Amino acid sequence: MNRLPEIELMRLLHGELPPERAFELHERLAREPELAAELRRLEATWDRLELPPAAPASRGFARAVVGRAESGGLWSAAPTRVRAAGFALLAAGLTLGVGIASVLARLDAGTQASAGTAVASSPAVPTASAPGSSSPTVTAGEPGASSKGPRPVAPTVPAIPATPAVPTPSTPETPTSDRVAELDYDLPAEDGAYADEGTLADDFWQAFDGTDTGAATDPDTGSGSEGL
Amino acid sequence: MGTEPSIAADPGWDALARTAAGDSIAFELLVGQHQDRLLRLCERMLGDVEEARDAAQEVFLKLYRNAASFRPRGQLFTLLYRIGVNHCLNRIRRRNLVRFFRFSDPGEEDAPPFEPADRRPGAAESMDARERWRAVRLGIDKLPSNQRAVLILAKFEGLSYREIAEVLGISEGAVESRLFRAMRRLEAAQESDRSTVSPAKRT
Repeated sequence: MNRLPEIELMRLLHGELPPERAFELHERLAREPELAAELRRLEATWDRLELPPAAPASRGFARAVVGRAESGGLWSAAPTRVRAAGFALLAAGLTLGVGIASVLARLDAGTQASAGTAVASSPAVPTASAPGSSSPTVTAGEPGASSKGPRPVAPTVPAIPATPAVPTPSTPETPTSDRVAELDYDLPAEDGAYADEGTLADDFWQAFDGTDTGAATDPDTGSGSEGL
Repeated sequence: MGTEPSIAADPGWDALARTAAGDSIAFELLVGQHQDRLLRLCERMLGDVEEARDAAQEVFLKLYRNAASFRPRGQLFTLLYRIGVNHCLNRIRRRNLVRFFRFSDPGEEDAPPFEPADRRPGAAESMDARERWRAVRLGIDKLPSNQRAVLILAKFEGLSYREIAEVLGISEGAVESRLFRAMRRLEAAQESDRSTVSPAKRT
C-alpha cells in the first residue's frame, strides 16, 4: 500500500477528513478488505498508545510560580533577549580584558628579551649610578670612555660571562681582550707559583758555586749577593 | 477545532497584558487556569513528574518575562504549548547531550527511568497497565523530537492538525507527515515488543 491512502486513513481515524471525502473512503473500505485491514491496524496502534493520567498541579503551584517571578528581581524578570545581550556584553568584556592582558604580557616579555640580548652582545653596560649622581657610569670597554666622561668601573652584572669582575685597570685604553690575556698570565702570580724567582736563581748559583747563599729564604734583603 | 477563535474569546490575552503591566494577581489567575494542561504536556514530553513540574514553572516564568512582547493571536494556550514544547525539547536535547558525554550505556539511554504512578484500583490490572505504559513510554522516547511533539499534541492533548501546526509553526501537511511517520515507528516497535514478549510468555 502506498503512502497516500494511509495518510487518508489516518486523517479519517483522527476525524480530520472532510465529510464528503470520509464518505468516499468509507465506500472504498467496504469494497477493499486490504484497506479495511490497514485501518484496523492503524486504529489498534493508536488505541494502544496509553499513558497514566498526569499528576495534577499541587495546590501552591500557582503561588510558587508567582513568588519565583516576583523574587527573581530585575535580572530574571528581564526579557530573554535583554539577558542574552547582557551575557554577550559580559563575554565580550572578558574577551577584551584577556586580550589586552595577553598583549601587555607579550610586550613586557619582548622588552625583557631585547634588554637581555643587548646586555649579552654589547660590552658597554650601563651600571647603576651612585646615589645623587646625575651622569651614568660606563665600563672600561666603552668607546671613548677614556677620553671623556667619568672613570670607568668594572661591570657588576652577573649576566656577562666574557668580562668577569676585575679591578680597575691602570690604563683605560687597554682593550678588553688584551687585558683578559694579561690577567690570565698574571693569575698564577697571585697564588705565588712564581713568587720565588730569586730562589731559583740562587739555587742556580748555589749549584754553580757550590755555596749556600741563604738568599732562598729572603731574596729581598740581598743576602744572597753577600755570598758571591 | 478548525475555526480560529477571536482574541476577545480568550480572556487569557487580557490577563497577559495586565501581567505585563505588573499585575501579579492576573498572572496568578493565568497560571491557575493553565497549570494542569501545561503540567500534563510537560509530563508527556519528558516522562518524569518532577522534571515536568520544573519545566512547567520555567515555561510560566518565560511567559512572565516576555509578557509585553507577545502579540495576541489565536488562543493563549497555543502560545503556552509552543513555549512548553520548545522548552521540553531543549531539556531533552540537553539530557541527551549529557548522556552522550557520560558515555552512557545505549540500553540505559534508550530506557529512561519511568515509574508511572499507580492511580487505578486492582493490583493485577495495575501491573498490566504499568507494563503497557512503560512500553508506550519507551516507544515515544525513541521517536525523533519533532515526531514526538506532534504525536503527543495529537494523541494526549487532543489538538487538531491545525492547532498542532499553529503550536509548532509548521504546515498541516508537515503535521500529518510527521504523525504518519511516528505511527509507523510505533507500529514497528509494538510488533517487535510482541515478538520478543510472546516466546517468554509461552515458556
